Amino acid sequence: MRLNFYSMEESDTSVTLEQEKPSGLISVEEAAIRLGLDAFTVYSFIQRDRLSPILDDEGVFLVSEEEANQLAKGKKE
Amino acid sequence: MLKKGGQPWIPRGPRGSGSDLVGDEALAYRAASNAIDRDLRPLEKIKEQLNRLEQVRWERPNPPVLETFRASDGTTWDVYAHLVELPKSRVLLCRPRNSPDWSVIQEFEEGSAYARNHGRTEVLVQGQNVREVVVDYVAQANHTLRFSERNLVANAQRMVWRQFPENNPGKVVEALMEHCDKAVTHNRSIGESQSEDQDIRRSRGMRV
Repeated sequence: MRLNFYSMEESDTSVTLEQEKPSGLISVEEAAIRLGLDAFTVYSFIQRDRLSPILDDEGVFLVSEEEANQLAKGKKE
Repeated sequence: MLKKGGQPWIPRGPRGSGSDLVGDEALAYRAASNAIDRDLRPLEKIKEQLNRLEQVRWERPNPPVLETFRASDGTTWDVYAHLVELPKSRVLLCRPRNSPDWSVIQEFEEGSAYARNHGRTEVLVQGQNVREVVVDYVAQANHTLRFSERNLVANAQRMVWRQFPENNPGKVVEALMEHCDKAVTHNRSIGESQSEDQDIRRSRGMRV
């Protein structure tokens, strides 16, 4: 997920913060794009055990890229 | 942005409580809230729709059929209500033609990778009592909303601590949590009390 910080009032600088993810893991939003779904639906898939969540060191849930791809291709129920 | 004493200022909490965000704290809060608003706004819209569903009286004797569709297994479904519009799908209250059972069905966008390989529709909840089926779905969706919000807050927390470590990040994160919580906190006045037990039961079986 790419998050942009714009216009700190006094400095007028824009800063981009790239979320660092461990290799092979993607954000829920990224998984949603691959599946052609919205993030809310992907969160519901996690709750219904359709995708396995992985908690990173900072308390953010990610999903396995491979698992998301398999689900997108219909190789995973 | 409001200013106080020439400094950016976001008032919070009771006057004099010390919870206002001032100067760099206010700027950090604004930058972070702008960054998460894109993800928060859809959750707010979902929450509004769920709140509306909780006000509806579902036990109508002869509800009209709004539309019909044929599922990939050949079943013809009659649609009785559009429950929730999601960004890339919609949630419908349906009954299979000539069946007394009610179902809440999610219909995905045609052509999405998921729909191509799994079919366009999925049953989320089924049962004989229409009200129980809808209440059950609303409870599930509220649970998902809370999960989505928690992850959004965790993302926001990470950005604030990394990006604004000198700007009282703990206080900024607290304000962001409050902001997100207000957007998606469940209205417990109607519906949840009856469905909460089911919600808790289901949660036990979930990984999250």
